[in-house]
Amino acid sequence: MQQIAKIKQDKSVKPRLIWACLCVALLVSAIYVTVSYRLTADITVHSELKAMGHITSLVSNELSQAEDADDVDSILNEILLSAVNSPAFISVTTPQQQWHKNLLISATKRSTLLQLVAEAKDNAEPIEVNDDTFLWQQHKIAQYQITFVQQTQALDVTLEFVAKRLLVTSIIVFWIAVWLALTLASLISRRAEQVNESLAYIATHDSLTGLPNRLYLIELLENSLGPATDEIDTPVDEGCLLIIDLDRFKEVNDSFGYAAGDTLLKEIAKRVSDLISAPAELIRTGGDEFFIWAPDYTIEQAKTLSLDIVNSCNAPILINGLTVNSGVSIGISHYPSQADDTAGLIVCADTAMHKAKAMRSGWQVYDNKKIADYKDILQLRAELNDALAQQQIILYYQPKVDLATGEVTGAEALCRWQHPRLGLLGPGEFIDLIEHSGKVQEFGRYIIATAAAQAEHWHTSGLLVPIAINLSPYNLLDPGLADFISETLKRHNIPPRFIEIELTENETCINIDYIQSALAQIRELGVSLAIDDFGTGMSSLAYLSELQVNVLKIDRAFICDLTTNQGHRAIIAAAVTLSQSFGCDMVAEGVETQEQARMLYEMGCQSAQGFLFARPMPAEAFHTLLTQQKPQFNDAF
Amino acid sequence: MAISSNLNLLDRSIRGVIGICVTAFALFNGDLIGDVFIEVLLGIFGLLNLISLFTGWCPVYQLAGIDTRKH
Repeated sequence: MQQIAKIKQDKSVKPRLIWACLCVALLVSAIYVTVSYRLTADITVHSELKAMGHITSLVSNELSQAEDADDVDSILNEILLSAVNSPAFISVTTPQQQWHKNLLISATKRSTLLQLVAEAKDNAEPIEVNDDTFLWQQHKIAQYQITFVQQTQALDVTLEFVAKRLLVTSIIVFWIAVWLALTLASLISRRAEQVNESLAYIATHDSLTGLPNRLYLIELLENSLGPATDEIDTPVDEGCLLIIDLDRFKEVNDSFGYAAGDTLLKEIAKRVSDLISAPAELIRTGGDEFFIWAPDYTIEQAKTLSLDIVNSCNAPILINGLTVNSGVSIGISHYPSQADDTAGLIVCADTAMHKAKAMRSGWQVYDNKKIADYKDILQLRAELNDALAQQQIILYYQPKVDLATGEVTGAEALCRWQHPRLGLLGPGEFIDLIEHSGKVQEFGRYIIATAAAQAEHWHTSGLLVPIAINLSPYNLLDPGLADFISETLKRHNIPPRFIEIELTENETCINIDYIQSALAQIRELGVSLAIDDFGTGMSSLAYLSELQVNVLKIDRAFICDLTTNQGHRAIIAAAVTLSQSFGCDMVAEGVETQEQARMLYEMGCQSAQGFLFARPMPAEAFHTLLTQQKPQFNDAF
Repeated sequence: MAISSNLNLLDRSIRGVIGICVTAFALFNGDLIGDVFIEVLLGIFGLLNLISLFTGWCPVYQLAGIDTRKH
């Protein structure tokens, strides 16, 4: 998680650059010294050769005027002694005769040198003999061949003249090179650091709003929470994390386009930024979600801040000439009282934000108790698989009673989750999970199979009670449902009229045409259909006429205050008339008092179910109720 | 670029010694070198070191962002 630090801490460029520059400086100094030395040596050799050339010319001029061998000898002697001051010799040969004149040089050395000169190609290269260096010139005039060989002091002289200057200048040059190396290295490494910094900035900031991004947030929280573990840590004693989510961002994006959405985000970012001050930081993690990490904030301070943000963001924003009002929902979590690590803090704030969104309350502080519920829900969802596999979902049965005779005319199967850890759970606690779990169709088939097995069991023991099964429209989207019901009925050998499908109506957005055809298939099997919770939800009258159901179950909401609510009485009366017109039966749900039952009967409702008669009970209890006591509920009124 | 001390004592002393030696050599023993140009170069070199000695400040360190002083 120290990726950004990694980019920033890469300091290896500078020392490498310095070393490279120093090496180059040394190399340049060495080349410079060598070339200067060789150049000076060459110039000296060249001028010595020139001087020797003059002496040789002088000798040849003198020789051209010589009359006999003695003359030659004296000329050579005179010139050698006067013009030469280092070891040297002059040889003059004619086809008939030879003259040699030595100065500070032995005869053997002379003959060796003469031999070497005879072998040499040109006189630019000095000849080496016993660590001494010699230069030579040859000249031919008339019959005389003149060879002048002289030991050279050129290299020594060069060293003497040049060495001191070269030494001093090369030290100074080296010194300058070091300066240059340091300066260049620092300039380049500073540039590299700038590039690194901008890379780190790009990696940790959002390009649209210029705010820090998720990577930055995680890094910031990791460094701020808990005890300091390294030098970049800046631990805080407490702090609040706020998650800000735009309520209507998607609508703005969809209606006005992405450019408008971007404008909205920028405006929100600006408004929120104006409200917070360092060290609190605003971070955009993506989409329409912003975070604020506010170190040293108490929950009360965070609440005040949230209120300011909500008020500020509720002010309309002008986009493309239209005012848009995108509210925000804020979730607050507190460190360390609610969570003491990054992930926990984010989850808490996120949960609180979702709660705020659901409650439309603008902002919410994370609530420990609620989060426990949230965790329970997550766990329940995970346990659903086992629940179906291990048949933990069981059916309870509630009798339906004929209000005229008081006899039990049917049973409604209601599911319960026999949870190994939490005990018996009502449908309210898990049906929603199932409907959003992708297991809804599997669950529907499971319920049908269980109810059919129970119906068969009762059938064989002489209890002729139809069982009503609740199915949601999601179940009807199961393409093989009608076939499955048909097979199940055959397998259990029970007549179709002993199974009733009650369609709950909690969803309005499901394809009504498809449901209609699915229901038609089920009806063709002979299974009767009922509309559950009639009068609420989507039970429009058009729907009623399209679906051709056999039973209407009027919702408990109209029954509970039947005796006092004139309006509800009117609705029930209308529903009774409606059911009679459609030729279907009517069942009242949630009957709790005798008076309600009496009034319903008087209004023309034939059947009812509710706590007045019996609560939902396990299959065995239901069996006992029907076989042993033979209940006659008409005594009730 | 503000001039502020960026040399520690050791750095400053070494520069001081080098500066004094080199300047003295250039001034009093210039004949040994035998070249005025080099003498002038040495003089500048020594002078810069002497400046470092008196001010505790090195312009190259400043450019390179180096600071040998302990804070």
